[in-house]
Amino acid sequence: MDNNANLNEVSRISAGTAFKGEVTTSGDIRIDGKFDGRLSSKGRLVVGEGAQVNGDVICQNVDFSGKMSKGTIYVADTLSLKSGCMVDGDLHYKRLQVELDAKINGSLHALDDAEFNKIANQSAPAAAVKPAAKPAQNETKNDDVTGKGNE
Amino acid sequence: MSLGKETNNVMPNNSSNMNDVNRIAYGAEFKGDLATANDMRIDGDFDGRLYCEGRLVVGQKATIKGDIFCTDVDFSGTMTGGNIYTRETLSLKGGCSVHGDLFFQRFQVELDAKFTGSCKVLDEGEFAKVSAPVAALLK
Repeated sequence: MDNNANLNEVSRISAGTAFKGEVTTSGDIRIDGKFDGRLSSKGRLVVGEGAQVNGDVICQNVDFSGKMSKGTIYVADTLSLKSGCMVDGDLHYKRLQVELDAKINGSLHALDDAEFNKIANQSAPAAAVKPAAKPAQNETKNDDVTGKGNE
Repeated sequence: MSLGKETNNVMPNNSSNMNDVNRIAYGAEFKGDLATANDMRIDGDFDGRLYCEGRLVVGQKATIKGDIFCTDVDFSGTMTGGNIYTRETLSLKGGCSVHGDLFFQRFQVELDAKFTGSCKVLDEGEFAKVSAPVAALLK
């Protein structure tokens, strides 16, 4: 997939949108709204300036310009914290890039491939799969992520 | 106003900016509740409750499970369970497959749309009432 080859291949949570639950995707995703839950992507995640992301993020690459007040980020390759972002949480990455004026509160951990795969597999076995519409998605032990009827 | 406006016939042109349109791409799976003040397009899987103040377009390959609350809906995908509450116009396109109950003010069905369930006309007050729990996510 060329970059921006097809806008339709990028999932998007736009500004003015709130999502609570679990996202699994084989493609890229962009968030400009509010996200709360777990996100697992085989591609790149871009978090825009006005975005708020809380929960667990498991991704190949992340460009983060928004705000995270509670959560954990696992990045298989490059985590890039942009100027103006605010991140409170634990960051696990293979490669890290931080711009001046990125605000970070939390811990930083370098991650190797084996560790990442372990985490990606244990928390989201369906992550790699296309939308096979499998009902046996995974055993979500995570209580606050199941989405439906949790308020 | 028209600066940077993209002429893309994927969504209706009244959406001023591609970035305003929410999108669940093919290959993506969303589970949970989503509320938005904008338009939305789904080509992947959605399981949960969806509240949309704009237009929702459900593509041919999309699979939906759960309740939808939306102002306008163009539905070409598959719904395996749940209800569709439409404030204005619900349009079932040819080739779609819907199992569930439909609530709407105006309704349009194309030839070859498959639909199993019941239909009911909904007034504005009822829509606000049933959609309130999901709409609350926006606050």
